[in-house]
Amino acid sequence: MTRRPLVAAALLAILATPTRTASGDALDSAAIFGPPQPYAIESIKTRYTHLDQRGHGYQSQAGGPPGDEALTVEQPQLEVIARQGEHIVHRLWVPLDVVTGASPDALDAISSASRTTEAGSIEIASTWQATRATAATVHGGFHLEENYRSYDVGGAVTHSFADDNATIAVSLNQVMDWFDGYDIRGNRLDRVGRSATNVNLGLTQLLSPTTVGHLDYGVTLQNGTLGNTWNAVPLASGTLGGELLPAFRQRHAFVGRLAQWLPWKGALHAYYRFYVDDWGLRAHSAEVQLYQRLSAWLWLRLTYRVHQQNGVSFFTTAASPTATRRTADSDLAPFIAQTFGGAVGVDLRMIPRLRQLYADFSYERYVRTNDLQIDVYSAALGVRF
Amino acid sequence: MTRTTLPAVDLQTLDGKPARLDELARGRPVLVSLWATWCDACAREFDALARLDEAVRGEGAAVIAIAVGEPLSTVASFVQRRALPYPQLVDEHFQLADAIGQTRVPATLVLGRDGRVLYRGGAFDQGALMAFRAAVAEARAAVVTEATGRPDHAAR
Repeated sequence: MTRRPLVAAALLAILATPTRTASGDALDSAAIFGPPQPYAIESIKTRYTHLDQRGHGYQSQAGGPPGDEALTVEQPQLEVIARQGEHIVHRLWVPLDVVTGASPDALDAISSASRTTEAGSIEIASTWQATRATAATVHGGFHLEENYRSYDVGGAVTHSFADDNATIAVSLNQVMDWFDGYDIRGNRLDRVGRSATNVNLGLTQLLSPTTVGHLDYGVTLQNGTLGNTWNAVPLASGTLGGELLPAFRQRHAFVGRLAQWLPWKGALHAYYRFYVDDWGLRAHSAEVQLYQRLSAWLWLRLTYRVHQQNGVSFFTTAASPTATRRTADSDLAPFIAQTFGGAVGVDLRMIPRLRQLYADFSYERYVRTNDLQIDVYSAALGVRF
Repeated sequence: MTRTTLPAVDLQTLDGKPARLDELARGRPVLVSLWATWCDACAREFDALARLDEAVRGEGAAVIAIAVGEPLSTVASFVQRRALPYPQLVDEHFQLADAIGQTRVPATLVLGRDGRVLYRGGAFDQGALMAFRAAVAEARAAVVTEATGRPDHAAR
């Protein structure tokens, strides 16, 4: 009987030091995860995109109807992701556009006033990880262009459940645009505006250990001056008239996505979108994307996309002068578009001095049956901290 | 909180020897990290897991990482290249992952000294660390109780 407390005391003495260490300071959050940083930049990424468009559309007066739609876009952009404390992440995105070449708009056709257009945007999104399962994001931004201003604001909430096997997301976005109105001869009319309100509901579900499915529905309500006011429409009389569009548009989009991990370090993404609106436009889009890691530092991505739409009910290339709705905008016409693309990514983490750098290069060719071709070249360089 | 017992599934050590997690974990609390070499989010955990391993190594608890769904040679060369210091097992054919219904990486489990799964989560985070800390404290109390016949707080 008398030996038992002694044995216990000895055992406690042996156990006390290590266990106090293991359950005390050594397992302190700061000791394991490092001291919390009040503000830290996680990554910076720059991208340069060159877009080269060729084709003809009836909305342009350049080159005579159907008008020349040739233009080029140079777009440098910057993305910064910063963490504020443990629960908040900010994303700052600044794209700049320099549009050069023969613009399809009436200003260039008549006055060349905007043959080179500079535009810029600033977008900020902040995500608050409220709990392990729930996050809320707010975003806002503005876009400046010569005679055009656009502001957007929005918010989203995501919630994971079922052991993170499913995630639901709801978002609400609002865009307001103001710009100078011009008629098809380049005469300034007045300041006009429009708004767009968008609501999205999404569900992401893990279907198997290697398969993720996603469904999304979005509705967008637009109101105001929904065209750019200077689009030309060929009339049956052989002359040109202005575009006449409804002041309201209700748009619905249904999206399904499937991502399948492939055992040879690849992934297959499939995408389908059905779109319908009250202007009579119905569209189907499908895309497949194959992502393949070729080595520890090199990956490849191949993309094919096809889009088919029937055109809005009032699309015409020979409008009646008395028609109350008319457009010849090739974006609203019936067409089939295909996109072929590829990207190569280089991850430099295998080189100690360049471990935090990564780069990618991509090319896409967009070809449309109503005479529009676009080549898009893009290069990005990023650094992770 | 999920409380299940760990299934008996054959895994491999990095030198190709058979190993079972339930046997390696028996009698001590273990933090298990499921990961893959291609997983960037997993890579962000390496430093914290290494510090945790250093803190508990020799203290009656352990950190064990299990690479899921990749060949042994791929995992072994990656671990060597990144000099990951904590014990590694390989679940090449998702046997353990399927058996415990773990469908993504990174994933973190905390096992009690009796082999029960005390915690299941995604990335190694504060929640996982708190669960592991509780498991270590619980194991310590149990050891004291077994040795003295009295609960830990009574011994003090």
